[in-house]
Parts: sequence; C-alpha cells; structure tokens
Amino acid sequence: MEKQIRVNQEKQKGFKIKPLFLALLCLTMGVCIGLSLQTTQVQPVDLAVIVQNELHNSGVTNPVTAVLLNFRSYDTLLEVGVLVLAAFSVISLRTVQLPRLEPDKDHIGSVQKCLVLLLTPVMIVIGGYLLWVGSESPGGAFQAGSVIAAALLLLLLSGYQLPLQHPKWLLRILLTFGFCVFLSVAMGTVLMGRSLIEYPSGWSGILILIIEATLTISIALILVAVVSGRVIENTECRRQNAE
Amino acid sequence: METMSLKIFYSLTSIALFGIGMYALFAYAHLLRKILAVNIMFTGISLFLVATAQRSSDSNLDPIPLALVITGIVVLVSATAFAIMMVCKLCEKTGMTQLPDEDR
Amino acid sequence: MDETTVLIVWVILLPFVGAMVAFILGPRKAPIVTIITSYCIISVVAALTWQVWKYGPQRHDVGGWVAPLGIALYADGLTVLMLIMSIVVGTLVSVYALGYFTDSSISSETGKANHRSKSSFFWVLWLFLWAALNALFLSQDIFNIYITLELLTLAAVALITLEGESEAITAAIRYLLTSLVGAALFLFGVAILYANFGTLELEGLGELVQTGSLSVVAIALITMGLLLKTALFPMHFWLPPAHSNALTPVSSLLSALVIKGSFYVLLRLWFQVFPLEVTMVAGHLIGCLAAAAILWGSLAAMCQKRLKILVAYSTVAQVGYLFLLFPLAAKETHGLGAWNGAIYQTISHACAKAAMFMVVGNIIRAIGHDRIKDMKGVCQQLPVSMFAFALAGLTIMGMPPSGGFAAKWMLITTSIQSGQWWWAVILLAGGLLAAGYIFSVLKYAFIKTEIVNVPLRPVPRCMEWAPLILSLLALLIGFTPMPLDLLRIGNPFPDAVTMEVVK
Repeated sequence: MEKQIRVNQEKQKGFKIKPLFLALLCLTMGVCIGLSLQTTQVQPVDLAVIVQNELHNSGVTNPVTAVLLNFRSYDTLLEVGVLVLAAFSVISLRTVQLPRLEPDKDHIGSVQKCLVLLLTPVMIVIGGYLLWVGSESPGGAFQAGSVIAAALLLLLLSGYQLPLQHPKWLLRILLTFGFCVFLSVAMGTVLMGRSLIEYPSGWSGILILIIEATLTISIALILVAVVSGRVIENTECRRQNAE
Repeated sequence: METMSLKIFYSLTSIALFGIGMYALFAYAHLLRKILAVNIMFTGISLFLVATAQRSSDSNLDPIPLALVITGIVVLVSATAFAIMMVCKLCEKTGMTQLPDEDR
Repeated sequence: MDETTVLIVWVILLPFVGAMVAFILGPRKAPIVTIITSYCIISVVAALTWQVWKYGPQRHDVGGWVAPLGIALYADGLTVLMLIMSIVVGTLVSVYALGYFTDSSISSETGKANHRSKSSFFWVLWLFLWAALNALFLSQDIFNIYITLELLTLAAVALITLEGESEAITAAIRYLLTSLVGAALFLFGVAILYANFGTLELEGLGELVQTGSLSVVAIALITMGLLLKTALFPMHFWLPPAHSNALTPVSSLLSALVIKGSFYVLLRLWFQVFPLEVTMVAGHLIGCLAAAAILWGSLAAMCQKRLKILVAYSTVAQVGYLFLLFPLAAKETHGLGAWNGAIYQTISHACAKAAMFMVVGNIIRAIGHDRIKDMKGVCQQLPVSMFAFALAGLTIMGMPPSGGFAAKWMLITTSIQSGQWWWAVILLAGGLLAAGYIFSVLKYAFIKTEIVNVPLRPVPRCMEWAPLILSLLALLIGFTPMPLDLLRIGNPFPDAVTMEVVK
C-alpha cells in the first residue's frame, strides 16, 4: 500500500499532457453549450401557468408539492423505488468493515452526549414541521426525512443504539413501508377504476399527507441505513445465523 | 433585464461546474474523487434547472424544474451511497481505492 | 386519438409489488413469488398485446392529468414487442436461476448460507430490474425515462456485485461511474430541452423541436449519454468486464435486456422527437462507430482465451448491428426496412445471447473453468447445452434460417436499395468474423475424447433446457412475420410509405 503511494508520487512529478488535453476538451464542451444557450427562445408551452390553473384541484397549495405528489406523482413513485433499491443494494453488499459509526465510548464527551439529547427532539420536531408545512410552502417528505435521518445519525455517532433490531422483520417493514403505502394507493386508485394515482376528488389532500408521512419515516431510515450500513448489518447477520 | 443577466450568470456557472466535474472525473484516479466529480456534474445540472425556473416575464416561479431537481437529488443520493459502499467493499477486499488499470 | 387502457399500469406495478413481497417474505419464498409475478405479468402483457393488435396504440395518462402537465404511458407495436422480449428472456432466465441457485454440491455451512443470501438478493433485484425495464418501455416522458434508466442501472450494478469477488466489484464500479456520466449527459440534454421548449412529453417535444444550435447541443448530449449506456464502440470499455464477471443469470439479463433499454430510448427519441436535418448527419457518424464496433468487437472476441469474455465481446460486436439503423434510416424512403431489421436484431440477439451465456454457465458448472482450449469432450458431457450454443451461434453469425439472418438480410437489402453498399460490406464481414469466433469454440468443444479423467459436476435439467428453448426461439423468429405485423402498429414511418405511393 505504501509502496503504491510512493510510486504514485514519483509519477506525478513529471509533466502530464493528459490533464491538459482533458481540460481543453471539457472547456470546449462547456463553451459549445454556453454559446448555444445564447439563442434562447421564448417557451411555446408555459407549464407554470398550467400548474397555477390546476393548483386548486391538486389538494395542496404549494406548487412544488403539487407537482411532486399529484401532477408528476408517478416520477416520485419511481424515485422512492430507486431509494428502496439503493438501500437493498447496500444490504446485498454486506460490507463488514464499514467506517465505524460506533465510536469508542471513551471519546464521546459529556457535552456531546448532552447536546445530542437536547438536539434530537428539536430536530424531530423540525422534521415534523417540514412535513406538515410542505402542503403550502417549501418543505415535504424528502426534506423532513433528511432532517430526521440527520438526527438519528447524530444519535448513532454519540454511541446510542436504535431499537430497530429486535423483531427481525421490523426493519424490513419500516424500510419499505413508505414505498408499500405509495404502491397500495396507486393500486387502489387503479382498482377503483381511475387512472394510476388519480386521487378521488376531495381526498387528495389527506392522501398526499398520509403518503408523505409514511415516506418520511422510510426515507429517514433508508438514509440512515445507506449511510451507516451497520443497523442493517446486525439484523441481517442475525437473521442468517437464525436460519 | 436584471433577472435575465442573472439567469445567464447561473447558466454559465452551471456549465462551468459540469465541465469541472467532468475534468475531475477523468483526471483523478481515486474513486472517492471520481464519485465527488460526478456529484459536481449533477450539481451543475441542478443549478441549470433552478435557473430555468425563473421566468423573465413574471414573478411566478416554474415549479416543474424545482420538482425535477428534488427528484434528481434523491436519485443521485441513492447512486452515490451505493457507489461509496462499493468502494468500501473494494477497499476491504483488495486495499485499493482506485481502479486497477489507472496509472495515476 | 389513441385508445386508453388501464392494463399498461399493471405491467409496471406487478413487478414492483412482487419485489416488495419477495423482500418482506425473505429468501425462502422469493423464487415462488417471482414465478407467480412473472405468470401475472405474462397474462397482463398478453391482454395488452391483444388490445394493441386489435385497436392500435394504447395510452394512459397517469393521475388523470393530460400531458404536458402529467406523464403519459404509451404502448404501440414496438413497445409490446420489447415487453414480450423481456418476458421470454426473463422467464427463461428465472427458470435457469432456479437450477443455478440450488447447488447441492456446496458442502460447507458458510458456503451454503452465502449461496442462499446471493439467491435471495438475486430474485428481488431481478424483479426491480424487470419493473424498471417495463416502465422504461412504456414511458412517454423524457424525465421519467431518466428515472427509469437510473433504476435500471442501479439494479443492474447491484446484480453484478452479487458475485462478490473483487473483479466483479471493480467492473461494477466502472459500470456505475460510466453510466452515471451517461445519465448526467442525458439529464443536461433534457434540462436544455425543457428550458427552451417548456415540455417534457415526447410527442409535444417532437412537434416543437426545430433545427438550431441549441437542439444540436441537446441532441448531442442526450445521444452521447445513451451511447455510453448502450456501450457502442469506443464507449464499450466497461461492458466486457461487467458482463463476464457477473453470475451467469445476471450476465444473460445484462447482455440480453439491459443494454436494449437505453437503445430503445435512443430509437424513440431519434425517430419521434429529433428533427430529421440533425439526425441525418449524425446518423452517418454513428454508422461509422457501429462499423468499428462490429469489426473491432468480433476481432477482440476471436483473440479471447476464455469463453465467457468471448461471449461478452460478441455483445460489443452485435450492438454495432443495432446502430446501423441510424445511417440507413436517414434516407426516409428506406427507413422501414432498416427499422424492421434493427428490431429483429434486437430480439434475436436477446434470445441468442442469453442462451449463450447460460451455456457458458453450464460449462463452468460442469468442468469448473471456461478456458476454450481445455474444453475437449464437453460436447459428450453436455450435448443439449452445446446444441443450444451452436443454434444460438447460427443467429449470431446470421446464417439462414434464423432470426439473425432475417435481421441482417433486411439491413443488407436496405443498404443496397438506398445506395449505401459499404454498410452491406461491413455486415457481411461481421458475419464472417462471427463465424470465426463461434467455430473456434465449437472446434474444441466437439473434439471427442476417449477417457474423461476430470470428475464432472452434474448440471440440473432446467439449466440445460432453458438455453435450448431460447436458441430455438431465436431460430424460429426467422420463420414468422408476426413481429413485422406487430411492428407496423404505430411505427414512425407511415408517412414515408404513403409519400412514396403519392409520388
């Protein structure tokens, strides 16, 4: 390993033509794109106006949330699918020597422990607020989920444990919970004879809130799982041993 | 007029970010740097989309590009996390943090 | 206006539901869940095919929002053919995987646990991959296509890493990085298109996009991104290691279906959205790359010492044939022949290449390695598999009567009719080179040996018959005009044909 590094350092001393060439290439590409943008035309279709006109039918008043969870909700469904898939792929890698998220107990100062205990409830409240406010101003499931995930990661970094391992199926259910609820709503609308994810009139607000709330839980846990890997590692190993 | 020039400024910055990311991707061998480079490229695209949300005609923001940016970020986060985990696994198996045939 | 149908939705939802159920129920039930899911998908796609056949292209507006506000799903003859292709290959790969993951010869406890966990992950990831493919084939919205492409890539990369050795992980990282760059280029192109035309729906874009420096740049970015993902020469560097280091069922899926996904997107955009003036020039450029891919891929395949990487390089060459469509269809009047040829090639290559990878898997399972020179007597041990390999080879070479022959025949006639005879020369040379590498394998495999001193491991029967069925299907496609009739529904060339009649 060290030898490798030394070899690399020796190599880097000489003048290299490759980076220069690459820089020129990237520069030319950028200039091409930049020049082409000079000829910006007026948009023939103005989707912003269409969104504004349909906003009162969407069940929320924040146009971005309306786009994410009503007009283009199918995109969001697939995107949550990507998240679940990523979590699943990370589980399938079953890396053992991950960067430790379980630091030495001695190195965690009492200030950190105390501060985290103070911060966690605040962050969870902020997450809930972001989720709730998403229907009228910027916010929503992803923002809320990432704030809660940050809170959980802080807890893990300060030596606390998440009580998720115990029934071994609990984590699997929670990870996929949001996606499953979203899928069931999608299937429900189809079974009711409507289009895919076409909410029944009058129900869109509450359905969007339910979907967002469940998504928040799952997104937070998926992000924690994807970043730490350890939460899952333990359960998976135990499950394998049990079988 | 001011929004227009601001918009062009944003667009040019986004193109610069895209180019820098692309350069870094090819120029550096360390896999973590490559992953970061890809992230920079996507940041450039996000900035470009955010810039298109601002219309010169009225003060209304176009919500579609903003929604696209959120979706794009989530997709990128998933891919990045998986890529980093794979690099960890590779490092664990071989002790290498770069692809074998890269000389630098 | 196209018919609306709700069947399209189930084609996408079913594999997702299957994946979730398989994930929650755990490793033991996953194969059964997959089999049930594929049965449901088969019946839904059969009904959808019937509808398209009877009533023409079908569409579905998601959420009840009409495009450009909402996202549309759309199925015409081409879509249905692609769905059927993924069903045929997917179901047979599933059958093969049933045998592949029940390895009785592993004795140690940890080995067994490792094998079982690989198998459980395989089923869920494969269902995700299937969902991504179906969503990709049906999507009619350019940003939605981006998400489905990412879903497809992530599932494919995760499947490669299942193998677990460092070579596979290196290949997977390379694949993921390459295709992230492809995705970035694609997304930038999409952003530029949206910034200027204000819509993401393919049909709407097709009406709005005009020639200009802007659309040229957007088209160049999108095409480059998709070429990276489809591995056209010289962007193929990631493909051979990725496809040859994966587990056998995974290699089959990657070579047969995953690269076809991005190719399909390119087809849709190229012929539905982009203006003809741009595509005509760029088409010839792509044609040159395709020719290089055919020649270089075949030559590289001939030089390989191991069978699995030989088959992977053969994919590089066969991808070249798909892209010959672009220069040939540039002359509008002859587009239809080239179009049909390229789609025939897509389907027959999917069946044949999946079969070939399966046979390689069988050989590795039986004799423990895939060195071509040491394969003497394999034919005596695995007659069914080697027969399947030879049949699939017929299609890869383009010998009559096979699907590959029909495809190449259509491409050659189009190139001669449109006065571009040089592409025909490339096609014929590619066929000869393919014969070279296929026969170099068969030569060793069919050598008869008197004494078999290596203890052979048994190969389950389903692993022997799945590739045979696939290669027979690849052969039979050459006999039936069924796909042609289906393709006629909603193809992008009706104007060309009528124009000629009017003239």
